[in-house]
Amino acid sequence: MLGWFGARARPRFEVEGASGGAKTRPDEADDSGGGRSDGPGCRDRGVVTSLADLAEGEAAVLERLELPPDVALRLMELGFLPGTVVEASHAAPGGDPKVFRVDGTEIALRLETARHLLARRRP
Amino acid sequence: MIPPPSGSPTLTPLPREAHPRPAPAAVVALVGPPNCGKSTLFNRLTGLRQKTANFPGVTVERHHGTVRLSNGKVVELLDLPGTYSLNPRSEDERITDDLIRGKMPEVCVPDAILLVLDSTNLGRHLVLAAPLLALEKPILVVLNMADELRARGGQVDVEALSQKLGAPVVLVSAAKGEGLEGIHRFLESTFRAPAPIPLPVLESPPSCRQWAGQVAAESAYRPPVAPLWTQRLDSLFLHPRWGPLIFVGVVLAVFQTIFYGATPFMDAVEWAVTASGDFLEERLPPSLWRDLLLGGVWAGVGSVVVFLPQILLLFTFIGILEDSGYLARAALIADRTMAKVGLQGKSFIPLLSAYACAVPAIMATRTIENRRDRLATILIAPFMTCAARLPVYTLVIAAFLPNRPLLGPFLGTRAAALLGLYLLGFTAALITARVLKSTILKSDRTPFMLELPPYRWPTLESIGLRLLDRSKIFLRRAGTVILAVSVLMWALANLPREGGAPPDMDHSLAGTLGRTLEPLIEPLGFDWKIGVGLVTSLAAREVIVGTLGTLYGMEGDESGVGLQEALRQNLTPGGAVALLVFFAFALQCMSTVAMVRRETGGWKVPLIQFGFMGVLAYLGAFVANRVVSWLV
Repeated sequence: MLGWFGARARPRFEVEGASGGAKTRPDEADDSGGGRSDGPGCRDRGVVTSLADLAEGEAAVLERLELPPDVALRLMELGFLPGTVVEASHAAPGGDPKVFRVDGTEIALRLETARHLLARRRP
Repeated sequence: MIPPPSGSPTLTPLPREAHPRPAPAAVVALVGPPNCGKSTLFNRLTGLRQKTANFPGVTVERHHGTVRLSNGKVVELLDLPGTYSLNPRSEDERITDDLIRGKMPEVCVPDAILLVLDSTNLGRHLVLAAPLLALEKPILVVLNMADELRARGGQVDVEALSQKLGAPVVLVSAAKGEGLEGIHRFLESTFRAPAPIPLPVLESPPSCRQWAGQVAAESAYRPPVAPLWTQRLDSLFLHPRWGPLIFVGVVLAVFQTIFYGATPFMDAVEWAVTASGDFLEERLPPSLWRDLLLGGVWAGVGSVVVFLPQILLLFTFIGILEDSGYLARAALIADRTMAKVGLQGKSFIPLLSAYACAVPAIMATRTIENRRDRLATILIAPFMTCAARLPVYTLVIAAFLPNRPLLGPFLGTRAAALLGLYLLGFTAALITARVLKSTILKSDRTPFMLELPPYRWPTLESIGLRLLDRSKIFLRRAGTVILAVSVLMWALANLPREGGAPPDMDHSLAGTLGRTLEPLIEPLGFDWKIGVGLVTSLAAREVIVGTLGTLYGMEGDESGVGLQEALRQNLTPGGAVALLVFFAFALQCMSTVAMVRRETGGWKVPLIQFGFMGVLAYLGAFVANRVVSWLV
């Protein structure tokens, strides 16, 4: 891949969501259902996926940003806040970068970035 | 105001218009996130009374202008780069942050702030209000795009919002010119700090966003429906099949316009300069000063203004693409391809324009916000085969390569050679970009993020003001350097005088310089005449054709058979290929150097670039000469 981003080993960083209390979870696919409590109001169903894997028109609730703190903060300023609904919209030819509808606007991210944004598909 | 002296009732104070530049009573900074219509508002408020300069030492542009209010007060307005927060991460944001916090006293310390927000997306945009209110500076919150908000069924209670924020709020449409009297009233008033209100934790985006959402909700904010036309147009422009086709169409249109569309205008400009020069020549008595005026200054002015048609056309295009919102889509489509060499989608249009001319291309890199990507684009743009290289290529190819068909009637040997030279420049650009982006210009950790604004109609006013601004910058900043170099080149070719007349080329300073250079360029297969051509072509690449014409005593024209014959006598095939390679790589263009200096805010980048491309050209030409001499 052409990504300078995913290629290098970098300590993963977890950003605490608005709902608070995100724990370090090194494996992104280990959601065996109900393993994690996000606090009382949160539904705990649905599959954890990365934004890169959303098909056009699919929406998911953003859970956490596994990116260095400054990058995560910048994305949060753009609207990628944990707990926000993100919908995959159009994409460039070849599917990369992808456009995401978030907080009333549309933002394009490369897949190498979107892969580190983990979200829960709504059931 | 000076009161009229008592006892002389006939004397009245001078009317305001008599003071050409009254000192501003206050400095007000325009702050806002990208795509909030801040620049449109700035243009609306200042009109033609605006200027563009760089912030000291950096590449970020500083737009400032004056507003004259009906009560006679004059306010200096400063348009700051768009920013999503006051946690500075990019160069643009650091400048905005430093300036409004008063950490840049050499520029100015603003007395008040106009915070411009997009009213169609208030919950999101209000986030920026929190850190600005925390500064406790006088502030007016300007909710822009009132017309769109209304048209799409949204609404907001301005009074309630003002209560919540503790600061005055106005709802305006900068594009339509609605509600501007509210801004004028604020500027006329005595500035007062905002009332203290509970603010969120500024370091935490979730906290700020939550606060903003709450404030919007408590101000009876009803967000407008999503812009239908934007969705429809994106279904077309970002369609998997049609999208790329439309993109190619747009790209071809831009390319055709600057490559061919500008030609008649450039010819007209050249004709006007030549005609006026001839007119002067007939009327002035012959002297050294007349020669300097006509051969140096006049030709220099000509070589400056000849760029204007291309610059105006390119910026009309870029203005339409940028203001309409398509430029962001084009960057999205081009991104994957550009990412392969470590660049990004926004580098595409500038690099494409560089095929016509690197000067407007380098000006066009302004649309790239990421500083490193912008610098990398500036550094590789002059490798693209610009129009000024064509006369040199045509002359040398025609002199040394007989035209034989290669692929039937479609591709002859000469066209293939020309194509090869285009590829050579392109490859050099790609490799340079790759190397730069994996070493000194490695992207900082900010990944590619591109906001796609809704599609909007570009306004004539905004594009017109931009054209005026770009022309002024070009004429003042680059023009002065180009003019100076042109005069210097004239001196090299025309001094020392021999018996009151210009010397033969080989006795001139340029000739001496060519002979001095001869040992250096001899390994490339060049003699002193080519050396003189290399010196004079520093002004502009195509000048070498005219110089060689003078040196060989031929009419200087790339299609001239006599000149081709003379060149064939003078150069070995190895030297000819070396000359082509040299021109493909070398930065033989003072206009580009001047532009890079202006755009990067110093001599460092252009000098490194000139040196690097020069070394590459020398080595490339050396290898080419050796290989071809060995083959033939």
